[in-house]
This record gives sequence, structure tokens and C-alpha cells, in this order.
Amino acid sequence: MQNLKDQNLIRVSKGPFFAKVLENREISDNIYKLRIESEEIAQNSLPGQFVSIKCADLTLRRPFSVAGVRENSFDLLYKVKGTGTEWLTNLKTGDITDIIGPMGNGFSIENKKSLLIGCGVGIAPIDFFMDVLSAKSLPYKSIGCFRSKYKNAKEYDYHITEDGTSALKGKLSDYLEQIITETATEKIFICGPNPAMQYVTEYALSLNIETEVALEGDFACGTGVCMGCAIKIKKGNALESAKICKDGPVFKGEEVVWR
Amino acid sequence: MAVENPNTVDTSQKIGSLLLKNPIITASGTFGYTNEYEEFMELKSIGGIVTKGITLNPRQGNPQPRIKEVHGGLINSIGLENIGIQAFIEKKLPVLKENNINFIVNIAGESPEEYKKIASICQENEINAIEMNLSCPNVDKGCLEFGKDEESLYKLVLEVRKVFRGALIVKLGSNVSYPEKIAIAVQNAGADAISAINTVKAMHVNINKNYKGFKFIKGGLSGQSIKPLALNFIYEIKKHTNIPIIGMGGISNLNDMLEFFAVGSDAIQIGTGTFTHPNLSEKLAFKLENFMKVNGYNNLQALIHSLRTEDMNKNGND
Repeated sequence: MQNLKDQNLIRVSKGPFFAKVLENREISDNIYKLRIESEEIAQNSLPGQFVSIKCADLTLRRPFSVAGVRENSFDLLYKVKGTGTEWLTNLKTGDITDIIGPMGNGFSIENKKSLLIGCGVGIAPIDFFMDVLSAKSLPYKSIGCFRSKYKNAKEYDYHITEDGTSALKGKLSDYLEQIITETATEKIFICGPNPAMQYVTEYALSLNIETEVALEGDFACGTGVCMGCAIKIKKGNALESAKICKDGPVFKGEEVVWR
Repeated sequence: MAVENPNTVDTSQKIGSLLLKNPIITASGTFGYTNEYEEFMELKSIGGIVTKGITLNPRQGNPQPRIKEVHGGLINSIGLENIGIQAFIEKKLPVLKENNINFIVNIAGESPEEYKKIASICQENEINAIEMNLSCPNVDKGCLEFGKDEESLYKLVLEVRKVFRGALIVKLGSNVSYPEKIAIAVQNAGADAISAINTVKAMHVNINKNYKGFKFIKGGLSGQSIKPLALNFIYEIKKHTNIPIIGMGGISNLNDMLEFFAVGSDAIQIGTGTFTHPNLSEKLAFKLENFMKVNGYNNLQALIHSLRTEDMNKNGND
């Protein structure tokens, strides 16, 4: 654990905060939900923004999308992938985490018939976005795409699984056209693997539907200074450099140069 | 009659004409151009910041991947992506001045002429201090190329010295055969200080799952794993030079900082440590002051002097 004696030095809005773990459990195969107590982060986060957690003695913090908030706590979803997330699985209720955030920019909140799509652990910001749009009574439908049935308290309007353990068997591309027509979608918001986001963005563009995508990148800082996660984005006819962590992670789909 | 307040200690340090409130500076490439870290700490709590490396023209940097975490540090291959000196003067300099931030501009060039041009622009804009990056391992042309050979380095620093009157710091790296020759050349050319070390050339390898072939990233290694290299480099160049040394390489706590003072540093920089703890530099400033109070050092020079009193048992373990 971090040295808590330094707490008296904390006086700024984005941390580091030394925040208590309220809950940490596996909710679906290899996907965990971590609930952390922090009024500051809960009150200031928008769907699409992320926080970074100091894990074990690793040099780099690990970034996670905020997956939901209450008055004085927030949720994260994480998939166990390496040293950092493995360490996270050992956190117990009452443990203290060293956390910074919220960082980056979130999804636009608009009164449009929105289609929210989350693939795999990319469902995290979509879960949060669903709560926010519901609270504002804004119109939306949701799609969750997984390998196997995702055991979460949330109900998605369309729950697609590769193995057919949910109502819809197959891939996102098998159903997208039908869903867009059915829901008269005006704007799509998606978080998931790059190929899925690229597919959806390009398909939506062909129908003249706007998209916003939440990207993932490798960075050291989370503040835009290390330039580790720099990508090119299209601004008119020109290409500009943007940092996923600072200028994103949410970008307009049509601006992204997919590699 | 003035009574000396026993609760105040003088942590200030001077590097050439540059006065630092305390010897803690944030390193180039890890702290942005200006006030990027104001949401995490009080920027005025530290001695100063070094800006992201700035070139004459804007640079796009290297393709992805640019970052790989390794045991005890990280490898980066950013390739000096930056906005260029003109945009820096127009957009960033006013922010630094408005916020009253003590800053050093890190400059890099592809040719001696470029270094000279950027330094002239800094002089025209009354910038107090520059750090010449002569050790970035991630670019094809310039930087390390000039920092490797003492003759070309001497000429280059001499030319820059002619056009820049503020504090001139030269940043060296350990990717050289004879550190002491390089350091002497920098001193003889009229630099005010040496900062060291830059990242160390390194490579990360990932063998493919079927054991056929591998993927890799090459770049500069930074973080805790390079601290022993940095300490040795500074210890060696200190024997041959008498200008101030700004030490860096994996500093992550107070004891690390004291070790750098012991081997010859007069000030230190925090780089990768900021990625781990965004307010590390502020915390260290607080801890240094507290350490000096508790242990009765009235000023930084007294602490440094004490640390450099060599223990004869050089090879002793802890």
C-alpha cells in the first residue's frame, strides 16, 4: 500500500486520492467489478472518462473507464490480463487504493436517438452512459456484445453472444443493420476492440449517422505529457496529432485514422 | 535584532544564473510544456520544470508503439514529438510567465545550426535557462550523435554559448564510451551545468507464441532500473569537472535523492517517477525540507557537504 502519511499533501482536484475499496468481485468470466469510495471522483466523472490506479510496485498506473457512480462511490470493470489486474483481484473491502482522476473527455450528452454499444470489457463506459441518459430521460437503446453471456445486473436491449448463451447468437455485424433500422438511430456511441469500432464507424458513416468512439492506448502519464498514446486524427483535410489520454479517449468516429 | 527562525531551512540552489527555490526539477518529456500538472500539485513547490524537448520545426515523432513498461521502468520511443520553437514561444511561454513557473527550455536539433538557431530564439525571448538535449536515443539525426564525440560536442556547446547568455545546461547520457571526456568538453565550452543521465538505449523482446520469430520495441529506458547507472555516471564525471551537476535516473524517494547529492549532484530531476506518482516532485520537496529541519542542516550546501564526506569503506554493503 502507498504511504498514507502523505495524505496531508493532497489538495487538488484529480488526486492522488487514497480511497477505500468497498467491493471487489468477479461478476462474469474473468471480469471483475471494483467499487471504490470517493466522493470527488464520483461527483466529477462523465461516461468515457477514466481513472488510473497504482498497482503493486509497477512503474505505470493502470487506467480504467468509470463504469458507474453513486453519491460517494464509483465502479470500475476490469478484465484480468496481466500483473496489474492480477494484483487488483487481491484487493479486499477496506483496502486503500492510490487513484487519480477522472481523466480525459467523456461522451457527448445529447437529445438524439442514441445507440450505445459495448463489446467485452468495453461495456464499462456504456454501463455508466446508460445510467446518465436514463437519469436525464434521454432516448437510447443499448447493445452488449460478448463471447459468452455477460452476467451483470444491467439489461441490454440487445445482448449478443458468440456462443449463443444469450438471446442473440452471433456477432455485432449480424445484427447492426437491423437494430439501426428498428431503433431509428441518430447517433452511435461505442467502446470495444478497434476492429469493432472501425466496422461500426464505417458502416454508420455510409448511413450518415454520427459516431463517438472510446479508444484505448498505451501511455505512461494519462495527462498528455508523455506522448506515448499519440495518434493522428482527421481535421478537415489535415491530419493532427492527438493524445488518446488527454484529447480523448472519446473521439468522433469519422476523425479517427484506423490502422 | 533579527532572530534566526530555527524552523526555516534554506533549500535554495543556484545553477549558473538560475536560482532554484529547492534542488528539485521535473525532467523533460515527463511534465509537459507548462502547467499540465497543476491539478495534481502546487507547481511553485518545486525548484523548476524542464519543458518537453523542443526542436526548430514541429516534429511528428515516431510511429506506435512508443511505450513499453518493463521491470523497474519503461522503454519509450517517442521520437521528440513536439510543437516546435515558434509555437512554444507563442502559445506556451505566456502560460509559463502568467503562472510564474520557474522553467528551463529543453532544446534539440538535427544539426549544430539548428541548436544555435533555437538558442538564439530563446535568448531573444529572454528565456533564463536552456537544457541542450545531446543524448536522446530515439531520433535518427542529431542529439546523441553530437553527444558522443567530445570534439564535435565542444564545438557545438561553444557555438550555443556564444548566442545564449542565460543558464546553459547540457544533458548527457550514459550511451557513450568515455563519460569524463564528454563532461570535460562541455565544461571547457562554457556550459554552466551538466544534467545526466538521459534514457539508456534498450530493447524489449516478445517471442511469438509458436516460438517462430519475435516482436520488439527499441528505445530509451528510464525509471528505477537505471539508478545505478546514473549514480556511477555522475560519480565518474564529478571527478573531472567542477560545474554543477543536475542528476537524474530513477529517483523515487528521499533516499534516492540523497544518493545523487552524495555522488556529486547539486540538484536533481524527477522524470518517470511523475508517471507513478504525479505529485512526486512536490512530495520530495516537502520531505527534503523536513529532513533538513529534523537533522539540523540550515542550508542545502551543508547537507551536500556532509553527504560527500566519503566513507572509506567504499565497497561496503548496507
